[in-house]
Amino acid sequence: MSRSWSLPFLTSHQGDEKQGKYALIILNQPFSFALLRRLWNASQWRCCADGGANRLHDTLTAHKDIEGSQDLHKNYLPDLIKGDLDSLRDDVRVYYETTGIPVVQDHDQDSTDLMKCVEALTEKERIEGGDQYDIIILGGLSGRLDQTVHTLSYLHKLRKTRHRVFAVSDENAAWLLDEGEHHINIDHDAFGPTCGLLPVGIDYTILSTSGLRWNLTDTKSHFDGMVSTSNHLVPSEPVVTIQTSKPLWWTMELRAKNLES
Amino acid sequence: MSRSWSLPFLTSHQGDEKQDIEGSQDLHKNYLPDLIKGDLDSLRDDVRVYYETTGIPVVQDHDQDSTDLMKCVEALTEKERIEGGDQYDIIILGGLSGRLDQTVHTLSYLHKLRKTRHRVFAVSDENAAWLLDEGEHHINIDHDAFGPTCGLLPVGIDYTILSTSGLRWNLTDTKSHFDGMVSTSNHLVPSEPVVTIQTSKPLWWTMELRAKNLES
Repeated sequence: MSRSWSLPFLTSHQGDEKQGKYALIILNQPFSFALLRRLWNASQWRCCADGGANRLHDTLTAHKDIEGSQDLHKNYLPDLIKGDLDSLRDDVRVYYETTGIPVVQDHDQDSTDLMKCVEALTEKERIEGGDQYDIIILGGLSGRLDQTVHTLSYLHKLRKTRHRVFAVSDENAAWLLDEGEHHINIDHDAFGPTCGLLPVGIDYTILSTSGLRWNLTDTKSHFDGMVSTSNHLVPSEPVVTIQTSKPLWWTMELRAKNLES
Repeated sequence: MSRSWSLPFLTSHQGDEKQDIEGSQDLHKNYLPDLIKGDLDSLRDDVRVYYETTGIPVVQDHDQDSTDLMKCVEALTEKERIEGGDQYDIIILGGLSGRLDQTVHTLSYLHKLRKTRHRVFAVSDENAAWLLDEGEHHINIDHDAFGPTCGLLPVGIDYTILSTSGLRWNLTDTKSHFDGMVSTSNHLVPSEPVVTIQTSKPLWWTMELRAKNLES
């Protein structure tokens, strides 16, 4: 069974076509206003995981200061702020609460703020009764190492129950490819040049690829051997195909200029 | 075989000379590297000129099968061969944050180095982390320097069986893997000076750095 992937929410050619249903979860890591704006506009539901609300608020404040625009915060109101709230700043909490945004505190120690937000989305989907949202996580793969590995392992788990979960930052867009064959449509204005095939959370995988600068054919990839980091996309190749025998993380560098358009 | 670990290079009682931030003498001269090495596709021209004119070796290596980090470890290995003494312990500043594929490169490269290098630490302002090979480990904790959070990270393996002591949430013969339990955001316990970890396969251990510790 072959799976096809596109990331229209990051493509530079927005077009009129319906892009699908996206839920944006903002984590407590830095991001540019340009990236926030692009992901926000592509999403139908936006949630801040605890300190992610601080980041949202402060990024908008900083951008407003630069551009002197009207109250930017009102154009970027999340649908929900949720988590154990040990990071959420008092002033940020007050701002969103008085604006009428639900701020939900959940003390469950066996789940992270990210998991709590996915739970809220799952509940919303249950109530709505429609298709799953694709999830875009803003942040999660940079910062404290244990949090990075939590993102990697949690999305590894989610591969069985969620269709598409992307982790995006100003550096890269990444997601888990379950065992099998994958066709990834590449917008070369948005991504590259570097990319990587990352066998994390598994002992090894057997990989075959096409469309990359250094392709693999039935090659074993594992931490004690070959790991294809710093591979390259090829501008003349619109599709990358990856066949993997076990779950594999795929990552592509983001081109900063793409977000400015 | 039990391995013992300490990170005195991050302990709070160093006796560092205080350096003024403002108006100090030429700080660059107090921090001259012994070597700058890599493919040099990132090294800025003005930086390169500064160090070259100061007499620092700037070595360009175009080998496409090794990263800049690997090239530097290679230079160190060559130095050790020439000197003929014990191995240096390696401290990598950076490497575990930023572009994901570079983070995973650091994780997998240090995984490989466990067989040939004694101690290789990856340190950033967020955390200090290193690879624990299969077996038993005793980690001496300076609670002024590290914590509260820590993590046991089964990356690069299918699973490991873990037993621990000295943590807030200890494990006993517990299987840890990406499809099951992964102990991220565990906590050090201030009254516990040692953390012991027994792992059946190579495991990454990480401890949060306390910012205040570096200011003393």
